[in-house]
Amino acid sequence: MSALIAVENLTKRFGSLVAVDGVSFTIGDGELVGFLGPNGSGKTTVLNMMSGLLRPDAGRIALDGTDVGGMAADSIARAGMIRMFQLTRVYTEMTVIENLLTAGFALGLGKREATERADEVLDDLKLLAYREAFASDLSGGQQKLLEFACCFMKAPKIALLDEPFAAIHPTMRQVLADYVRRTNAAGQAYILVSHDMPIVIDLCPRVVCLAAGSVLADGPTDQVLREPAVIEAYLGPNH
Amino acid sequence: MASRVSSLRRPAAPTSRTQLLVALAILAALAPLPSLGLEIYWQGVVITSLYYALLASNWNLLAGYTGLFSLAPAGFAMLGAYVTALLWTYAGVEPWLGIPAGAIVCAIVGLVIGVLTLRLSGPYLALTTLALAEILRVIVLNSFDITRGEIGLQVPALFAHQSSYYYMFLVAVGGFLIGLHWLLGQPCGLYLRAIRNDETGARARGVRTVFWKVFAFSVSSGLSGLAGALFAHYVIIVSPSIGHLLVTGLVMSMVVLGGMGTLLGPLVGALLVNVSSEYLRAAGDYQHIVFPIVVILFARFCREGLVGRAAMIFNARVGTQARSGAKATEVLASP
Repeated sequence: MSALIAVENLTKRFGSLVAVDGVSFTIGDGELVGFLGPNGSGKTTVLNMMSGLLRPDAGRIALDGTDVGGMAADSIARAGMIRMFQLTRVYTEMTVIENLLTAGFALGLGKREATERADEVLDDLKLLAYREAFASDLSGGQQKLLEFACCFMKAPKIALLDEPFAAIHPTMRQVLADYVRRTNAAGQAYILVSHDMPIVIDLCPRVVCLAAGSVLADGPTDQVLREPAVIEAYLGPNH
Repeated sequence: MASRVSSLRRPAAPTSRTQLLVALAILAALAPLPSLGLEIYWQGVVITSLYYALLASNWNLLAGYTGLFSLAPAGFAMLGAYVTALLWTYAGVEPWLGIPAGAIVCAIVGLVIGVLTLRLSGPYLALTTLALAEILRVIVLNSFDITRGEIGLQVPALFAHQSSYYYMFLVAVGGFLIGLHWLLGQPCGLYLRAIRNDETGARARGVRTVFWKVFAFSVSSGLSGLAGALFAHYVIIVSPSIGHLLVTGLVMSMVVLGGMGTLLGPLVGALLVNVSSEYLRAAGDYQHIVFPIVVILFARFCREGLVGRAAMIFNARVGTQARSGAKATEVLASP
């Protein structure tokens, strides 16, 4: 498996706080990797640097062999590394279809292609009935699905999903999980940040566990979750 | 139910064709007034209102659609006016060349300021445009040998009859609104609205936010310059008062009253504010207090403006949004 993503020695400081401290990992083409770690372990900061929203203080991020560290977020998205946020970011003052078309056009699709793709993704995610609704009228879970749909207007090389399953209805969670599973089987690569262990265990063959800004463990999910250091990071030393 | 209530309260769609048609109907209704005997004075009031409508629509493109807060619409209008005036005075350039030159110079200045400030987040654009507007005005005031300071520069008239200006401004406003409606229906219209709604989200999904913000600012600056240059040849004297910060405040109040982020709002606001200010003349300087108070009241109690509020009432009556809300509820209830 060739390395789609190669992160080397990634570091980010906020004043005296070292939020990410020399993180390195690689992700192969078509891999689905879970990102675990307690709150404040640096998962979102790593994603922010990978997606260009934060500039790394040190280290290298390569996408398909190209160094994208420090590139603008929009350039990284168009290069094929797209990001879904922990706190949902949809255009609430625009309709569902406008949200999707905006993403499609920005990623280089033409009008017809974007419209067809939007309808296809909406259908896949059971949102087609809301096509003309304003995003602000959707429930929180539906907004998450919409943001997810925006990421797939043009199949990315890798999708960075930050807590996509948090606070959504179980039915929608199933729709989302099925989509991830199905597209991953077809070769779509993912990084999935989640605190939802059953979902991570179900979807991710491999996990990277972060603690205090460093990689604590990286390997097959069942092995990593049995490691004492990982259990201690999650449950504390006196569990 | 919450979804249904919020749907009923939905303000006007920013790209509404209905709004464009209503705006064009207002302009069409104004068109025959000179031939129906509208006094020269009131023709002048309408022309000035339409000039303000151009500035207000330009500012709305920035603040209402893109979320950029500029304090220089009047400053750019003054710059456009001075470009055509200086070209006429010192190079004998005809207004028909001077007017587009004013627009182009303003667009270039807007481009440079946009490139310098729009990569930054925060209030930098507002601060820079405030500084620019005042610096330009002070330069004009103090360069008496070139600009004749407060006395101003005389420029030639474009037409012999006032009614010709009347129609020119009607066509200019109509053309601008049609162009804006078209622009908002293009991908770049979606990008601008996405930037206003959530700039970080837009960047993360591939929108070239800096490029489109600079584009919007440059286009808006150029069109403000064009409006100023046209107005200069109507008033036939160009003075720094065109660029006074009070004018910018007036333009903002027009947009807020009419409805920010609506196609029709700036036109309605400009007509309402400028015509009503004629009736407030008797109040002298106190009239300058009236509009800020009205703006504060609108900002507090009617943020969507008159057009936005009218659209909400219309939506509630027609019930189209309610039906879509009900449909959504059905879907949610279905297994």
